[in-house]
Amino acid sequence: MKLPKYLEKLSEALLITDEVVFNRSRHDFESGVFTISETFDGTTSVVCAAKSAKLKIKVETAQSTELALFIYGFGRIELDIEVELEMNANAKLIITSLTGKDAKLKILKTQKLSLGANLDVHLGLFFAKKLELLDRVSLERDNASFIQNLLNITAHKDSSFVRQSVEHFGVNTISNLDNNLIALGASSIAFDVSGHIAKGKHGSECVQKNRGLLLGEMSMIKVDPKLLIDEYDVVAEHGAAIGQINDDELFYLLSRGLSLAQARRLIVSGYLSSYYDAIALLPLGEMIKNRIEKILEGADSQ
Amino acid sequence: MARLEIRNLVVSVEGKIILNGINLNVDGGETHAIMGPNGTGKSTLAAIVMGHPKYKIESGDILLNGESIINSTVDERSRKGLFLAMQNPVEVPGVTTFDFVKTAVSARLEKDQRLRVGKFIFQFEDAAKALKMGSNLSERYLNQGFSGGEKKRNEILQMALLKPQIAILDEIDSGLDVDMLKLVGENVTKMKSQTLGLILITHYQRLLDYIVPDYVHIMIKGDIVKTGGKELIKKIDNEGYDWLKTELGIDELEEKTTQYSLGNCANSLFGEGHH
Repeated sequence: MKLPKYLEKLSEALLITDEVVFNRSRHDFESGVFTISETFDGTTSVVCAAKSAKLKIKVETAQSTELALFIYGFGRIELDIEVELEMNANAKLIITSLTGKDAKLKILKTQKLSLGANLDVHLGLFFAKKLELLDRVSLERDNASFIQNLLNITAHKDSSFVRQSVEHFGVNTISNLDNNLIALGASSIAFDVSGHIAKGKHGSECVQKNRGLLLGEMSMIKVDPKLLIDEYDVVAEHGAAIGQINDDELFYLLSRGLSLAQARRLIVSGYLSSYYDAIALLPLGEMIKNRIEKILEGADSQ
Repeated sequence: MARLEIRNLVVSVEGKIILNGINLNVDGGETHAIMGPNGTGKSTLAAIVMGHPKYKIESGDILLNGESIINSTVDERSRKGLFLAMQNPVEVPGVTTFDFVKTAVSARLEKDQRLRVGKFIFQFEDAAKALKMGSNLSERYLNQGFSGGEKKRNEILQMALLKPQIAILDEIDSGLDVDMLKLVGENVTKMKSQTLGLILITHYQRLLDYIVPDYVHIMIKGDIVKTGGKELIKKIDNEGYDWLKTELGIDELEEKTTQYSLGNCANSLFGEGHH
């Protein structure tokens, strides 16, 4: 696959393609499995432009890692991301998928967290023709915590299907899924979200928030949040709010002198702000932001 | 000098007339209070002046500085100098208060002008300080997680920075405790000038203790039925509106209700004769 110049220029990033792995010296790459098991200073960028890849990210006991993964490619892409956090390990992952508009992307993401481990994920999924994400979280031991902020934008006749499941197998475990969805054109997004707190796992918190914004006349968003709670002493909440731009919100912004286009962009930016903050300092951050803004501007003018 | 003229305004919503030929003139430098019982159209009047699309103007006109604005969009009215401090300011998640106000101020500039952001930051911070909004206001998402009082003070902050010619404050006193009411009153009074016309919509005297009006209008059943000075406020506070209805021969304000029969579900569910 021919890579665009902005990716080739990323000398600091680990680049994985079907043929080559750049800067592989610090990492294991065997039989198509790329393993990252070190502790890094600052954020390490990994660009994955392979048709099929398996990434194992293992953070050892009491270590910390910050990793930015950028998924790029065309056609059919399959990615298997396995994250394992040992006791008291901390990790922050920023995962962005900004593929070609013909891409059919399938991601299997599994996360296993041990005692006292913390995983903070920012996940941006943009404009693939077809996206399928299976996202599994297992809070295997006590005091583990998983927080994920997800932004999914679809356009044209794209479709996204995401299945998220979180299992609380330890006491005082925390999970917080914050899903922000925007559907443009005639695209569709379907989320199936479930959280399970096992019996006896008291003090746990399982929260799911889903916000969906329909910006196309033919666009569709469907969210099915579920909580399966087998313990009394827990906090569990879920919710889904889906709709077009709220008339009251719009009137409020217009009444301050913003034009209709400015008001719409400001409301949409509210969905993007958390993700933009997360990528602000990444080498590809500005490029990603510009590309998203350009596509949204195109949608505004339609 | 700014001038808002409302001329014989008749307004309907879903085919029902809710304002019956309102007339009101507000000049720069004047403060008008509009009082009246619940459901008489005070907030509706404010929303219509601002251009809320829910309402239909059947007849009459609204003029700002001699120019009709009834065909202007909401944002055009705002940029022409109108401001509405809302009774229930909406929350906009993910949009910081600073970004919002900055965008609103920028929207008022001429095409060849650019906002001097450094100077604006100081203006924003000064306004926030004057209204005791806390040092992190700029980063907080617009009205999200704000208390009722904070939302109202945030409206006044926007008014201070947008510098309108005519401002309508719709029940700005609700949700404010005594100290905050005084603070808001002082801030609004400071903004009073020959170029600012103020309309205060309120139920209570307490707001008008701090922002003293030049004129008091009483609205009943979609019309301004009496206009007077400050003496009206005390009379309403002591006696309510009944004396006025009697004086003007206005019928009681009946609540329109529709009666529904619950049928005999209870009997069906529990069996005949079970109570």
